[in-house]
Amino acid sequence: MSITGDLARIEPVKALIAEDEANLCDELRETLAGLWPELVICAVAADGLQALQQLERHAPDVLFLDIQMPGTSGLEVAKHASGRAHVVFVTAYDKYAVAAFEQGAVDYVMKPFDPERLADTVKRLKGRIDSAPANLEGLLRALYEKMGSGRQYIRWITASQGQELRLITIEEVCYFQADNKCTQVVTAEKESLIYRPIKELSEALDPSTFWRIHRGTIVNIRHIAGISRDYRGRLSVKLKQRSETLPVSAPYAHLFKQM
Amino acid sequence: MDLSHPRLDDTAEVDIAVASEPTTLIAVRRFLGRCVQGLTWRRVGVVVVFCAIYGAVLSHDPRNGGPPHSVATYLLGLAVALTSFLPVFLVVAVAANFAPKRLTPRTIVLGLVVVAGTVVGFYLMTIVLGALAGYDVEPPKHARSPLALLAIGWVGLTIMLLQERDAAAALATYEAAEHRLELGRQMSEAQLQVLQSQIEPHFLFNSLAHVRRLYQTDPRAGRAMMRHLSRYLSAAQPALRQTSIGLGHDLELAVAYLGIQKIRMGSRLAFEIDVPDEAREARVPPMMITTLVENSIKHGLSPLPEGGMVRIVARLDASALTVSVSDTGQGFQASLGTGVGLANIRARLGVLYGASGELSLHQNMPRGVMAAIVVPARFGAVAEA
Repeated sequence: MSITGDLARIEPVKALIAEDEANLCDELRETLAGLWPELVICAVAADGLQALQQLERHAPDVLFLDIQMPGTSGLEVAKHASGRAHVVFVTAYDKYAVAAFEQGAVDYVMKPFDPERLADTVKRLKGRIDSAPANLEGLLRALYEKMGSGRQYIRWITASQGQELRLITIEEVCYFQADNKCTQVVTAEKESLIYRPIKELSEALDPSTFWRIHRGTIVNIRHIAGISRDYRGRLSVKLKQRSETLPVSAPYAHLFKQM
Repeated sequence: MDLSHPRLDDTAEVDIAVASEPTTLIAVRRFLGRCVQGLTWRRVGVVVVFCAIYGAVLSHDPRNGGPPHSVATYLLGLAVALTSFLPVFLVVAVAANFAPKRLTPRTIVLGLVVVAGTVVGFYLMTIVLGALAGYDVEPPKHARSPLALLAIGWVGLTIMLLQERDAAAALATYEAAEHRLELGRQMSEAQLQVLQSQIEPHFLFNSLAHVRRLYQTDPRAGRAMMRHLSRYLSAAQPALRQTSIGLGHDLELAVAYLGIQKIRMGSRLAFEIDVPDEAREARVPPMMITTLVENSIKHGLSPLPEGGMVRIVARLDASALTVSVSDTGQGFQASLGTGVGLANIRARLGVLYGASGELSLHQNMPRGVMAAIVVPARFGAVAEA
């Protein structure tokens, strides 16, 4: 039997709701039942991982998706659903998300949602349910970028020592020293090893306080006691609370020109 | 482990550079530097001026029956004064750099040093006086009795020590002012941080969505949510202006926050509070417990589909109050954190209690994190900041 585009679809429209907060999930479900009685809620997922499973199992036409969920985030679920289901984001206010949704012309509903707003969304969904779902990759990339741009500098570091987790606040750090792929975090009393390369650290440290003075050394300038120069003009940094001195390699010597 | 040299490409080069400067030379230079520390030209100048005046007095001794005023006799007097006073001053100035730092032993050591300096000065002066035997210079009073020279040395020392004490007092005043400023800064940072998490739109709108829904389906639960929310929103502000509040009072805030999260997360969140009555009266810096609970939920339990448990435990002994917040969450995933919460707690504890305040983190068994705060046990009203 051939079906033309003008004919009403025979299969009911299936929707998946992914929302970890049961109260709000029920509310959305009830409101949708009132606005769109023909819609079949094929599954409800309480976390991101469930949502991914249900997405594969039920191949829903519409996906109502919370962004902040346990397991894996709504954005990750949206990535899998991109091009396969019409996605409506359901989220409490988030300035990055809302800006991106507006720009990417993606359907979204804000919690606590306004039933009229949801009715509009339902109307739009009905209108395009038979067309191919949008590809969300561009939008998601923009969203990930925007959320990443609010990045802040490191304020503390934890280093495990057996059962103990040592908390080191960034102000306590005298310097960081590369040690193969790890980094030594040196404070006035102790050295601790963390399993992060120094390169990764250097991007997340406040450059006004932490200066790289050598390929393998980043020093906290608040802990510098003085700079000394040997007869060959090589600089080394003396620290207030540590006895060792740190050599400054030539490419970084300009940092101390004024001192 | 020796951390003084980097282990990367130019290790060898750096080692050579360090080795090529003889270490003894460096040591000698450092030692000399330490010797002359504090020996400023201004201080030397004061001694020279003093000698100049004293030399003038010497060359104008009334027992000589008035002048011979001449440049030559004046210069001779000056030489005598300089050779006797400068050594005392120099010996004391150098010794001061090595003397003990505490005031009483310092006075004793420097007193002995004055005696040594006097001996040197007296000896040099007799040499000069011997050389000047043929000239018309009356030997000064202190040439006859080294005790006079000693007395002058001690007067100088007393002045120096008094000056030191003034400087130390000035430094202490300055540091106290710094301390107050730092405390103020930490408090306002804590305030800002709480304010931020309270009015974080996502948290606020989400909570409101629950309130609306619950008022339709379960008004009693809705009222409870409303109560928790308004308690959480209002209580933090006045509380934060104090440097400490009662633990019981501070717990109410943490419980209000837990109540909100309990309604949001349902069976995914369980919490338990184990605080004996006598500990509720102890004073704690405000908001720290709530900050730790927020951390537990945000970073520990929220990411886990199955959720978990938060436990607040307080124990009071004779000298200290320990409050711990533990969770069965996913633990610290990253070894780096950007949150100001933990850093601020540590900084505030440091400013308020010095070494007797402490924030420590432990791995919770079988999983999760336990954060513990230790503060000195204090009761009753505490002066506000």
